[in-house]
Amino acid sequence: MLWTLAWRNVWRNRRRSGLTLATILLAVVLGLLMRSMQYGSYDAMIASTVARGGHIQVHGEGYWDNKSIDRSIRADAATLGQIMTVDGVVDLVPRLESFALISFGDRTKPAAVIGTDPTVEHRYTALADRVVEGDYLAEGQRGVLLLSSLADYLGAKVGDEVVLLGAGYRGQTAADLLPVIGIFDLAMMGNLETGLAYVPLVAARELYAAPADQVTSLSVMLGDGDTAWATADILATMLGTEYEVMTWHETSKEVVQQIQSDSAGGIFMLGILYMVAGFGLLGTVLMSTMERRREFGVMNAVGLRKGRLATVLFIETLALVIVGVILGLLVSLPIIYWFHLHPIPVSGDLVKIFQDFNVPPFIPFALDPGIFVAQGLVVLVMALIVASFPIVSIRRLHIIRAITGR
Amino acid sequence: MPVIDARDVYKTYEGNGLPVHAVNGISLRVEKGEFTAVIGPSGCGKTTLLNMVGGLDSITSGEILIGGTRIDSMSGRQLTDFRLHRIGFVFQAYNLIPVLTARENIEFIMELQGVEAAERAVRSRELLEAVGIAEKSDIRPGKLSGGQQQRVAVARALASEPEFVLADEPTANLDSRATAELLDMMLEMNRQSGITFVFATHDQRVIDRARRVVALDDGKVVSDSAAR
Repeated sequence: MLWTLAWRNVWRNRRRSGLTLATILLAVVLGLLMRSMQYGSYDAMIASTVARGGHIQVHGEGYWDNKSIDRSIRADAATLGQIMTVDGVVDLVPRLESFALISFGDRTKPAAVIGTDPTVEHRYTALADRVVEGDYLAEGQRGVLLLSSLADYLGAKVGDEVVLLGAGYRGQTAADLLPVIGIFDLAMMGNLETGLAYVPLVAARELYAAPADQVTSLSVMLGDGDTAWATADILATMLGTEYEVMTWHETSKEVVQQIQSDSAGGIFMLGILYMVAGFGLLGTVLMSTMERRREFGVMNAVGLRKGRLATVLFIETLALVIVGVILGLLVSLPIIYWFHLHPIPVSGDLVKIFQDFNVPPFIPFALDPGIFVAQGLVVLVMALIVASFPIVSIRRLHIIRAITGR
Repeated sequence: MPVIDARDVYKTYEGNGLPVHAVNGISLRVEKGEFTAVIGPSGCGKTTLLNMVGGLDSITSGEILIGGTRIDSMSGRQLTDFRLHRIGFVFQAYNLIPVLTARENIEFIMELQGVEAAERAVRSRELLEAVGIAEKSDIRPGKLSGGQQQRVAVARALASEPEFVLADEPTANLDSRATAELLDMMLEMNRQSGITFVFATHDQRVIDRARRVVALDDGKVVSDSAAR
């Protein structure tokens, strides 16, 4: 009957309980939408980061601090096969990259020239889909894919031949004349690197005079991104000290920092949101406790222990919160699911900001169950704190004063 | 053995820095089956005496024994359990739990005592019939008249099968007819079942029906009809 008593007490003042429920519901809905949106954005940022660099990168020792082609590594079939045997590794993207001057006519611009396996590259970065003129690269082909802004600067078109000149492997001169196979645009993926060109891996080795199987990095793709740290440890042990193994958290620290800083802001906002909801709940609970002191006195007088009385009040608070959270979830879930399937497109200056962070200009919503569990726990903790006030009040209850209203 | 045995009981409050002797050395024995009214002017100490006898308020000195058990040295929790099993209360303002029906108010006490659901149902029905409002069993207190609410309060007081019932001004908020009906009902229970009732009252209609009248003034017993 204690449950019945508590439940009926919740609905004793319907208007007040309704308003409190609405406050909790609103806090839960806004909290979930905000966190889902944040986590969705983080997922997109991480996905973009991982697509470009892998969950894990394997380089030669010291390459990350000094990106010289001389610190490249051999990625022969045996090495690749060994890495692929590690649990969780699903794919490898070999790249050989360095900088070169690219010239056409009387114009020259420095650019990062990335040698890659066109098929594997497309699998993760969808590079072929970014081609706006000409064709995508084919393995073994001699040719270059230019970023549109670079092509525009040079005035080069598909079919034109551009000169690539730079430092090759072990002090050799890197020089080649390659036809422009295609022009790609990174507007949707970010446009920070204005000087960027892709060439097939074999052509890159020819350009940089690098030995066969030589790469500057191996991007390791995992089935489960959460295992990046553990897998990196395994790879580091397996490959030895001649290699450096780094997770995307280390190679893209700015992304990690951006996520952490944004998340901290989100938690601060959530704190304010739940504080408002918490005070709303506290007001209701305190009001309800104060105006029922006589009733509590009588119940204690006729034999209800204070502990069980406090339990009734605790159940009342908890019931109010649980109903509020369930309603909040019921309202939020369809909205979040809809936006998960149909991310909100951004416009104006926001597009540039998104591009700067290398993410598509959409606001995606995450459906991670952890978000819902976390929100539920936060509200539960809030309920426990609020519920402690009437419990203290009951502990201090003086029967005679309560019954006589003194 | 008396059901109530108060021995030289004192209750002193601090009022504006000065001690107020609400109960000033009262000794009172109530035997089983009595129908006793404790009377006196406002502030004479009758409600304070009933509160102490009922284990609702502490005493300053003296001893209170209920059915031979000393209660003045019990802890708060022990007193709560003692009240649940041994004492019934009827208050001036009825004080029923508003969100429970008449039947549930009665069963609530039995549930606290650990009585099985089936037995609770039988006994609550019997009690509601005994107080004459069986047809109101599923109605909440707010929709009952004052007299009906006080009848439910009496039934609730009897639900625990207590050794005695303490009633503090139970008729103060009732009209003449409801008062007469309530008192007749309690008297009938007293005669038929030997239930002990102790009233704190200044209602002449209660005093007229009481078989023993204890008068207080300034926290002392000034007359006791049982002593005559």
